[in-house]
Amino acid sequence: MLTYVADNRRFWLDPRTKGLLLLIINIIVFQGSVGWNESLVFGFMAILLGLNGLFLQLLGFGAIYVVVMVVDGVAGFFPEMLGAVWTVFSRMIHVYLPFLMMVYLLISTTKISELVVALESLRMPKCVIIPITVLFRFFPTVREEWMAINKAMKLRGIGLSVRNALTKPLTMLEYIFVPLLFSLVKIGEELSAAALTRGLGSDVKRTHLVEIGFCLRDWLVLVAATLMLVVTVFN
Amino acid sequence: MMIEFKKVSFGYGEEKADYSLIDASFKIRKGECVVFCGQSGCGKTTVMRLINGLIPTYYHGAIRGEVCVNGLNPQKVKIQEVSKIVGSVFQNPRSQFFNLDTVDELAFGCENQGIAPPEIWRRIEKTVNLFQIKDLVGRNIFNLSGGEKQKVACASVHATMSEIFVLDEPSSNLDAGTIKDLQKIIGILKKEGKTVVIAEHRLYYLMDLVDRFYYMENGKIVANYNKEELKKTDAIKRGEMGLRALDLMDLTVCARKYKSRKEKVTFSKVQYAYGSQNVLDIKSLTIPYGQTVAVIGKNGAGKSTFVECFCGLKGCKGTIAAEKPLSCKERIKNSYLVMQDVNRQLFTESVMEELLLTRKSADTVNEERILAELDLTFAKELHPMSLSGGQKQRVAIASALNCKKKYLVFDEPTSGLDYCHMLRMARAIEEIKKETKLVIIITHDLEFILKCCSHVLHLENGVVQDYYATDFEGVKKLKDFFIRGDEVVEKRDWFIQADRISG
Amino acid sequence: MEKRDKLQVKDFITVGIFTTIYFIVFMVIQMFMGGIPIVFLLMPLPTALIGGIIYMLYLAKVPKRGAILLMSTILALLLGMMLGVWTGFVIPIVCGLLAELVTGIGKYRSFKWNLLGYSIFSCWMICGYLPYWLMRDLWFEKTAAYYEGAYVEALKALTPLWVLFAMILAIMVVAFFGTLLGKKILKKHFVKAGIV
Repeated sequence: MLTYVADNRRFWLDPRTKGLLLLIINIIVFQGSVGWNESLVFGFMAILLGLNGLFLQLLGFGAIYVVVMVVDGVAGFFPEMLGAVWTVFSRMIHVYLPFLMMVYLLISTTKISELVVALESLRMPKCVIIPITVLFRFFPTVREEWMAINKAMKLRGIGLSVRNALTKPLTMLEYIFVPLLFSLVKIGEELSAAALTRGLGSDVKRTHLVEIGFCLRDWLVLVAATLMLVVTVFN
Repeated sequence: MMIEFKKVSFGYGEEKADYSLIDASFKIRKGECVVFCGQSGCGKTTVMRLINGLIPTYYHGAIRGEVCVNGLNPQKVKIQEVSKIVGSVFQNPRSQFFNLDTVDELAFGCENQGIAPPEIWRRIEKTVNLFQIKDLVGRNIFNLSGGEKQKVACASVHATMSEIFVLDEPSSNLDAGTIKDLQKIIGILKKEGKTVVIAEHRLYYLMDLVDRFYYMENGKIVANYNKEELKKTDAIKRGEMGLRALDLMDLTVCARKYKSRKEKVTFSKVQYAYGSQNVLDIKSLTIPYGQTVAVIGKNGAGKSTFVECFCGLKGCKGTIAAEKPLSCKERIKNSYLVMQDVNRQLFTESVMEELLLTRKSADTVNEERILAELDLTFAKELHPMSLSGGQKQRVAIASALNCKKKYLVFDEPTSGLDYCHMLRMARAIEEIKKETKLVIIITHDLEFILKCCSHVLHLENGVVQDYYATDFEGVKKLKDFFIRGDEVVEKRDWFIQADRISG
Repeated sequence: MEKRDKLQVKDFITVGIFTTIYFIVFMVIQMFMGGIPIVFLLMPLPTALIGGIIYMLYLAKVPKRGAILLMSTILALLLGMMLGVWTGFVIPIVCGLLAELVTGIGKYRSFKWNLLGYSIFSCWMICGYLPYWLMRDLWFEKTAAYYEGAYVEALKALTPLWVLFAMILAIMVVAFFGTLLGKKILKKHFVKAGIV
């Protein structure tokens, strides 16, 4: 029988776990961290990325982390006001880094079908589930369209440059959004038509090929995250 | 009787005067394969939409007459009921997938019908084996080529065990090799006793499969043929009917004059790499001005990368030179790329504005002349997006000509165009030759190449495989490529592999 | 046959598409402006302006009861997950509901009511800033522990209560212009091309 192969699920987590994790990480970020537990959260996320085999991304995030550390360190040599702004800037990136890592993990390791099952198990109505799945489906599409439009603008000599953006911002907005919206509306219409002919939105209860469910590693991850949260709140 | 239309008329929107389909009556038996053909806008797509229930659920309008699909009337029952017996494959492979993963896409229709997972797995396995698409299982939709997407689309319909397959111009975004795959798949469907209804103007790949051809004109079914009857019709008349060639072997090159000039563009050691993999590696290549070059090659041969490097959209190693080496910026300034999805490069509210976008001048004499040359005078004040696909492409060409671009590059300009529009595009290219130095066209359309290209550049794995004129020898090579040459198995990167677990 | 004035499956897909574009615009602006101290207070303004184009086309495509509320619900779910504070879940829905009611008066087709509706809708963007005022002491205590004292002082000085109202007002004014821009582009392009 054909199956999904465990290969891409190296450290597969339930989408609900990932959702909760995202929430917890954000509460921690919102609570504001002190130096050491921020490193803790970063380390935690780094381990998760590593377990999921996202080494290249891990390297990227790690590089940002180190650069920001260095930048933060040299801020002391700057004049007072500039130094302050500098540190705030670098620390903001620092604080949001685990959040970005979590978002990346969520998006790159969650399949749309898993997300649908997770949302259905949370008893979300169809009118919420469909837009959210379309949202996930459309991120890459918007990116693709935008890159193509950007190319087209360059060729026409109306490329997005600082000068153009400053001298005629409204016209530039028009040049970007008119083709983008036309294109996306058209794709959306075709997508709707295709989805309808395949029975999306039928009154029958849907079944699912993917199976989701909590297992030991979900609990482990969640317990660890909750511990971090508790430590942050009571610090 | 699987499908029966009794004097069916349909008009979109509320105004009833304008019918897109008029008094259509026909019967299709179970297991038949039927093609509706005719020029774009003849109403063939409307027939498809009436069968699969998109009319009236998605497209509203006024309907007369009676449609019967396997005992159901798609106009009376909900579309999800229709979706159980009718499966649809659409023209644009980019926009018909709801999931990002092929397995989920294959299961999508079954899941919506509430079929138990073990049964879905069984069906997917059966379909995958039947269609021989094991290599596509578990891939990301965004990493598939157009042809692969179309195969997955057919397979996912097959997995729902639909009795009727409705294909709306399924070949229009496919290259020669994958059209062959599509042909095989339709053959499999027919062997399984499925009823297949196709709207199409490219007929050569369907000749041995189709039981009946319905020819439509202005919303009316005006004639129907079987294979022999269609073959007996006059080729010129078929052209007037908007139909493409019935057999690629019969095509001949149209005599044309071209003048190779002394000036030329030379490529030397041009390289472009994604990561460590070289996708383009051109040691040396010279293209004299005045030529119209068709760029051919399989999917992933580096055609798009080649033209994007040429246009300066991608920075590549090596030199591309005219009289002197051209930098990226100079190439962007001097060249223009008419994209396959032309919607992305039309920015303004009227065709005239589109031309005036970057070239402000007091009078519009030059603009008027260009528009007239490209048969666009009627559209001067219209919004570019309200035009048809072929017209939009010509607007993009006009805007490029008007800013005096030297090099014009096209990416699949004839995908989805019927014979008449294809001819008009070929004519447009003849026109622009006078105003530009060099025209380069990526295309999979043999008929079109023979109509307007003077040379062929054959790329394979990023390397120049061959470069020849479309003379007698050249045409032989071309036919070899288009009619036979799809045997090379493409290298693929695998995201997840399908596994076979016994039991 | 289903009723046409009720949200249907194809409308849910449209909601998804427009929410995606709107959200991406919001995030891109967030990324450009969010990292810069002080400037981030102005972050909602460009979104309110550009969002006008997207929102007006959206309303023209789906002029049905519930469309605005649904969009704001999706935004609330996303924002709630991202902000880590309850205002993210609540404020967008509140703004969406009010906008829905206001727009409903004009049957989703009256420009004046749509304009007011969008101005109210856009106010969801204060959800990220509300903690400055709602949990002021806690917030600044936490922030002081992390950032330099000077910055926290400056931030405190910059955010007396009236700034909240000024922000709301500014958002609404910019949203007003956003709607005008949206209407202009809608008429110039999408109506002319026959898309809506």
